[in-house]
Amino acid sequence: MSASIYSNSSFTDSPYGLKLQRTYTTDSAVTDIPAGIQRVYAIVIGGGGAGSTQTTGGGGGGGAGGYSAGWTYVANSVKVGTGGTGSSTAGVGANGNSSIYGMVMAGGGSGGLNGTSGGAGGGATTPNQSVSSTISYTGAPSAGAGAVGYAGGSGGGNAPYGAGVSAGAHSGSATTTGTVTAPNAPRGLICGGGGAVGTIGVGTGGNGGTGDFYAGGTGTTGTGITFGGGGGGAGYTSAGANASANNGGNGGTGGGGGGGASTLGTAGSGGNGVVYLYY
Amino acid sequence: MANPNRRGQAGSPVSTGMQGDSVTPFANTHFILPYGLRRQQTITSSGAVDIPAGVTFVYAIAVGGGGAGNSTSGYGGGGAGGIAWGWTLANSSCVIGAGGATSGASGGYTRYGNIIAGGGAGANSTVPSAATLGGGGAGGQGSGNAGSSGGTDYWGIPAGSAGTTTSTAGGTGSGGGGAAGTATTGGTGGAGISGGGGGGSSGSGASTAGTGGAGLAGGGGGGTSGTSTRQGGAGGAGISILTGTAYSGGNGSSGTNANGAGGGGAGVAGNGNPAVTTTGGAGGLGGGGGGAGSGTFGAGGAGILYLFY
Repeated sequence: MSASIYSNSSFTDSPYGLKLQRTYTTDSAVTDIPAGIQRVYAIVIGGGGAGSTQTTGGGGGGGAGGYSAGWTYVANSVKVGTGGTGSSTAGVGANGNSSIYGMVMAGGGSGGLNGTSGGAGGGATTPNQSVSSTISYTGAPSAGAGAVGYAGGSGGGNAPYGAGVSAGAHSGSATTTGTVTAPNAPRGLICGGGGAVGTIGVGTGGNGGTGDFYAGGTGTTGTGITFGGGGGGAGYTSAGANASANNGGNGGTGGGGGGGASTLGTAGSGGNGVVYLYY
Repeated sequence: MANPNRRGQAGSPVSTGMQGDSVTPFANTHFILPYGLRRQQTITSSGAVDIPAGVTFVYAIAVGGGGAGNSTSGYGGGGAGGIAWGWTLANSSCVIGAGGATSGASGGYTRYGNIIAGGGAGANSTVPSAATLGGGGAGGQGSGNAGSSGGTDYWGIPAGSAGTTTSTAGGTGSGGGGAAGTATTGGTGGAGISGGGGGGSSGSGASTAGTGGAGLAGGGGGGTSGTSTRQGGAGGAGISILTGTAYSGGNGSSGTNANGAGGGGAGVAGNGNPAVTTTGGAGGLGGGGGGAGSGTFGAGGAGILYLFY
C-alpha cells in the first residue's frame, strides 16, 4: 500500500489554522466531537502543586503544572488534574495532578518540600515533592534545583533560577529573626508560588511567578510570624492570588502553583489544570 | 482548495505506521517545517509581541544566548546558544536570552510560548558548568582540564559529551560538548546544532588553542598562555536558519608570548568576531559563543527569535 502526504489529510501535521473548539476544566466525557474528526490538537495543562508550611520559618511554594501540546486521536473522555490542596499541617505540600487527553499528557507541579525548598514544575509526569522537574512531553530533560528547563527546577539562588515553560516555585526562608525578604518566584508560561518567611522581625513573603498572560500574587509584609505568606503563581488562565497574613496565596487556574505559608499558616493550593481541543 | 499551509514539506519523514486516513500520526510536530508559512517577525529583545487577530498558532524558532569565554589566558571558549523549534499558541510576550556578558557567564534562555532554548555554557571555571536545553558546552582550561557537556534540547535530542584529556574533542550532539584543554593543543569543540567551545592551551613553549565547534551556531575559540608562539582558536562556523547562508567564526589572535585570544563563534544571524590582541572575539548574533581572552573575554552573541505564521 502506498500513500501520498499531499492527498491524505492524516499526514497534515500543522495545527495552523485550527480553532479552539472545546475547553475542559474538570474530568468529563467527550462525546460531542463531530463525526469525521478523527484526530485533534490538544493543549493539556496539569494542576499546580500546593505550597508547604512549617512549624517555624517559611515553607516553599508549589511548582507549576506541566504543559503539553500535540496531535492525538479522538478520545471519549478527558482527565483534568486538580491542583494540590494546601494545608496548615507542617510538612510537604500536595502535588498537583496530571491531565490527560488521548495521548497528550501533562503532569502536575510538585508540592513544596518539607523544609524551605519550593517544588519543581511539572513535565509530562508529576515530580513527586521534588526540587527536580520531570522530562517534558517533547523529551526536553528534567531540570535540577535552580536550573532553567522546559519544566523548571525549584527556584533558588539568583534569577532566572527555575524559569521555564512550567516554572518551579521559589524557596522559603528558615530564618526566624531579623528582617527577611523572600525572592519572587521565577518567570514562566505557567508559574510556581512564592516562598514564605516566618520571622519575629519584618518579613516579606515572595511573590508568585509572573506568567506571560497573568501576574503572580503578592506576598505579605509585616512584623512577626503572622505575616510573610508567599503569593500564588500565575496560571495559564488567571492570576495567582495574593497571600494573606502568614497564609500562602492560591495558584491561578491553569496550573499555577500555590504560595508557601509560614509558621503553621495554611499553604496556598495549586490551580486546577485545563485542556483545550483544537480542530 | 486545500490549505497549503497544512501540508507537509516534500521530503519530510513520514512513518510507515501512518498508512491510511483513519490512523493517528505521531503527536510530535517537530519534523514538519513551516512549509508555506512566511517569516513575519524577527525579535532580538524581550518584551511584547504583536500577533494579528485570528492567528492562533505560530511556528517559532528560538535561539538562546551564547556563553562567554573566560578572560584569563589559557581558558576555554563559550558554547553556542541552544536552538528549539515548533508550534506554539500565539503569545503576547517573549523572553530573549542575552549573551554571556561577564567572564565565563552562560547565555540566557529564549522562550516564546512553550518553545524554549537554553543558553550556551560559559567558560566559568577550569572545568566549566554544563549547558542546558540544547546549549553548547564550554571549553576546559589548558592545564589538562575537561570541557563541559552540552545540553539535551527541547526535543530530547541528546547532548554532546565533554572532551577529556584522553579524547580532547567535544562530542557531537544537539548541544556540542566543550573541548578539553591541554598544554600544547586545545581540543576542538563538539559539532552539533549548537557548537561547543574550544579548549584552552597553557603549557610552556608553543601552544595552539582549540577551534569552536560548528553548528547552526558555533562555539567560541579557546585561548592560550604558552610562553612561546601562541595561536588562539578560531570560532566555530554557523549557518543561517532562514537562507542557508554560511557564517564564519572569527579568527584567533597570535603572537609570541603575547595575545593568543580566541575568536567568537558564528551565530545563526551573523559572523563571529575576530579576537583582537588579548581580547576574545564576541559571538555572532543568534547565539554565537564568545572567544576566550588573554586579558578580556569575548561576550556571547545575543539570542534571537523567528516567528512564522
